[in-house]
Amino acid sequence: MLVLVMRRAGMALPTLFGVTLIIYLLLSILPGDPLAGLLPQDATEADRAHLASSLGLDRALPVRYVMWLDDVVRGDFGYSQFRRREVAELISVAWRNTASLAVYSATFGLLTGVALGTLAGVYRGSRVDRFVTGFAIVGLSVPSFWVAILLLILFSAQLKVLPAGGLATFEHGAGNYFAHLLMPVLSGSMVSIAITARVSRASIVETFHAEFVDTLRAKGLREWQVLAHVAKNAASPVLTTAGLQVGFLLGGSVLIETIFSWPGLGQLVFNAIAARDLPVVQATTMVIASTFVLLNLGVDLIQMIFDPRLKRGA
Amino acid sequence: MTIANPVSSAAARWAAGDAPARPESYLQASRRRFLHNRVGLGALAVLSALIAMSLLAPLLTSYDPAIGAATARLRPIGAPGHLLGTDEQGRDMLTRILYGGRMSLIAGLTPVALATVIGTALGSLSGFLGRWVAAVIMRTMDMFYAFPAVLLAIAISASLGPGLVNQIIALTIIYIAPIARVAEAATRRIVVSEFIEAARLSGASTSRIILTQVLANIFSPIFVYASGLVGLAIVTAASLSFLGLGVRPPTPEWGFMLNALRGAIYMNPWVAALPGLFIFLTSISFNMLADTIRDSLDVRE
Amino acid sequence: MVTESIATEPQPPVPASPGRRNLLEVVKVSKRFPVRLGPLKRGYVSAVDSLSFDVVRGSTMGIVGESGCGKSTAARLIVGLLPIDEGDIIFDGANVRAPRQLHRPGPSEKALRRNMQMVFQDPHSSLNPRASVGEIISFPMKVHGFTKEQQRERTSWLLEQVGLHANHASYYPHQMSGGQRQRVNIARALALSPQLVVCDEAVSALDKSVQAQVLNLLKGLQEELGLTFIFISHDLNVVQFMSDSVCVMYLGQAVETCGADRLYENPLHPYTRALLASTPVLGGVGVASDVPPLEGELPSPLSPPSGCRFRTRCPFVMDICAEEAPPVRQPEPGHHVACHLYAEDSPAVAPRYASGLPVIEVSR
Repeated sequence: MLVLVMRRAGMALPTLFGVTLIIYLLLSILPGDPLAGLLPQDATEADRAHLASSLGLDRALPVRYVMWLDDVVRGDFGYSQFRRREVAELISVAWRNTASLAVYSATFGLLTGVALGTLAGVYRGSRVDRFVTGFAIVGLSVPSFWVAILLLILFSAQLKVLPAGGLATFEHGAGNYFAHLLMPVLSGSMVSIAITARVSRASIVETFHAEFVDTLRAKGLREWQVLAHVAKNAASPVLTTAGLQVGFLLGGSVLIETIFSWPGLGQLVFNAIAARDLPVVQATTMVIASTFVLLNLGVDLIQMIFDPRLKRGA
Repeated sequence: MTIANPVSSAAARWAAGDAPARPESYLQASRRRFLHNRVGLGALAVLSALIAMSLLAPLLTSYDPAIGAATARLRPIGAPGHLLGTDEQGRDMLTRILYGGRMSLIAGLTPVALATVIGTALGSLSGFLGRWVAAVIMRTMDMFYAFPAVLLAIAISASLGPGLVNQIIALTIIYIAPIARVAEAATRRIVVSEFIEAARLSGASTSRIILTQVLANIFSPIFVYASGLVGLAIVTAASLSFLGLGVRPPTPEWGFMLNALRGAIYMNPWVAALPGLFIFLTSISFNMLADTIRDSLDVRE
Repeated sequence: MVTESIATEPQPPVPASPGRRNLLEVVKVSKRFPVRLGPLKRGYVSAVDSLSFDVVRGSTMGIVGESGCGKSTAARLIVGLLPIDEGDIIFDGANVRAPRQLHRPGPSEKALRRNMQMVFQDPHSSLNPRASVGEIISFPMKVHGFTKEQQRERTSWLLEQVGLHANHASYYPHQMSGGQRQRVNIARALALSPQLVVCDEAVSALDKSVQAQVLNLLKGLQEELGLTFIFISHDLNVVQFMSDSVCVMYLGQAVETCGADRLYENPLHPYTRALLASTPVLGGVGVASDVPPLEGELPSPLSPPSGCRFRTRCPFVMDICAEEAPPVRQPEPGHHVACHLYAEDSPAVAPRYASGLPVIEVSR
């Protein structure tokens, strides 16, 4: 068992490497002059050359990659000329904001999705089922940024009940805190709810209506005990998608944060792209992708613990 | 043990003319199921309407999508001369929506089509040749899987710069990996079948076997998966345009329009929401169509 | 492992015809498969070990044995779907040892395909579900450059040969019954007019009534078209019906080879005897019913028993059986056995069963 865990964890390492490599390669083909805006107008060629070499830009690509990787591992994410701050500092602030939004969205999405999906699966064929299935298809197809705009129209523009953007910390009042959270979470979790509902419904249908459940009832187990058994068996596919959901949320955070002016990683990377702030783009993308890899690793490990079939190994 | 002459007795039976009526083929059965599914037909109708409208845009409206009148900004829906109102630059919304549909559809469909071709090639080669070829290809695919798709698309798009072609390239790249996975899994299931051995025994080369025997058999799961991707691709393409990474203005595109009209939600919310409605309609029609296709192909096997 | 080479011309009980030659000679063919024993260890499974037999033109060689004895592997080695590790395969006098890579057939390989074909076991997975029957049968012809007209004509002819109707060409496999699908299988195997057809459990997946029809069909085709068969099965009755000579395999090795009728009259190898005893026979005369049934489990092919592989289940096991691999002897003409009981220096006393009952006499 431990061997399996180690093996799975070990697989994450080359993936992380590959991720950093892809990011670095992608961004090295970014058009435009990385030195633009860093030098005064009357800078001479010598000045340019000097700055370039001090930033390491005159070395070959593989060398630059290794140098960058080396810095990253030591926690040095570079310096943003544009924002005049250490990138690491920018990221740590932004990361907390994105994380809180992501956690709320993921939790809300997962719980709502599982609840709806379970209802639909248990009462298969009923009106509830049809409603949930229909809702799931809508949720899958709807663009999250459109939901965001619709919510804004409804709650901010028309009803004027919720603020249109920004972030409020908990100290300034719980009500205010949640008021700022509500619309971002709702719009961000739509797709999550839909997919989770679909997957849980399918999983419940497979397990709840399976023969072994009747056996359990015949043995005299109470209904809630039966449900516990069903839940354990049905959990696996839901967990798998849960990992993917969070990835989706992280990716979609760029959109939601931009719309709601939420100062997180998404907004950070987006503004950095517009401003050609290369160190920020590199570091942020890497942080997001690495989080995704580690999260999936976590989900896989949890699954291994719960699913005896996986325990015995691939 | 005596043997009645087997050949002539069987031949005699068939010669008597009782070759039975042929039952319908797989495709015929699938098509029949499809046509009985009202939801699917409805989705197909909506989709055809949307596509037709976009293609026939010049015939349906006489406005220029790029030019607007500063005095006619943000007219509401149903305003005289502007069935769907005008946008923040005074351009007719109906026109923008119709022309914008072209861009959105192209940006959504093309990547899926390209990714299907490339992904199927990679996946089927992996599945068929196995061993180190498969390891190399699929490990590389895994690396792309490690990214949240939208983020990767944004990163690629950002590196390449804005514009329709770059947007299509970015989206194609992110969809190759999942399709390759589906293709590889399906190929591996087929490859162990005896009819593949029989094809080898007939003297066919690897490429011939893949093209004639393998592809026809993996087509179904790949097609189902790819058609499910289209709806998502349309939304993702719109997301990229929303962020400014797609078609350059003033060419209309639904995602871009939605972003441009963000400021207008206080003054003219319905017009501001309009482009999103069309993105949604297109996406949901494709998704329902894909579901119906999947259900109707799920016949015998 | 030392085995003596078999005489190159066994004598199956068919009337000798002038100019008769062996169509196929399998000479000490071996095949190993690598296997993962643990995170770092590698092992080998010996699927076929030094297999030798000859097949006379126009006859049927039956290969019989339990599951896992290597018969299907042997079939694929002969026909060229798997490369052999050691040994030679001589077809019509020419050594046609399959080249290392089967994915790149050269012109000679392609020509070979026309001569040796196979009828597969599973009527479900041996036909391309997405192709029509006509396409399936004409595919080999297409690969070898037949014209469309030739393909169509020959396909119709083949369909009728196997007892189907020419209109069946537009059917799809899932629209036909198991027996009909096997007929299609046979038709496809005959598409290129092969001389040798290997039937790998060709009727095992069919209902008994249908089996009889297909077996009769095969026999009829053999007469009409002058085919040579290698017929593989685990079912002794079927093998008896179909074959002129039989080769009994155990764990990848040939333990006994002789004419079909002789095998049933005078089985020599203890394994053969046990197999025959455990096979239900309807109304025929079976082997002495005092033969004890086969006991024990098939040993793992990863680590077969030393010396004689059958010794762990053999009622006549002697000390020498664990030390040395049994040599191949020919106690009577055309009858080969790999067993220490028949070595020249074995005890002259006829072996007895533990129960004390005498066994069938061996004529020396």
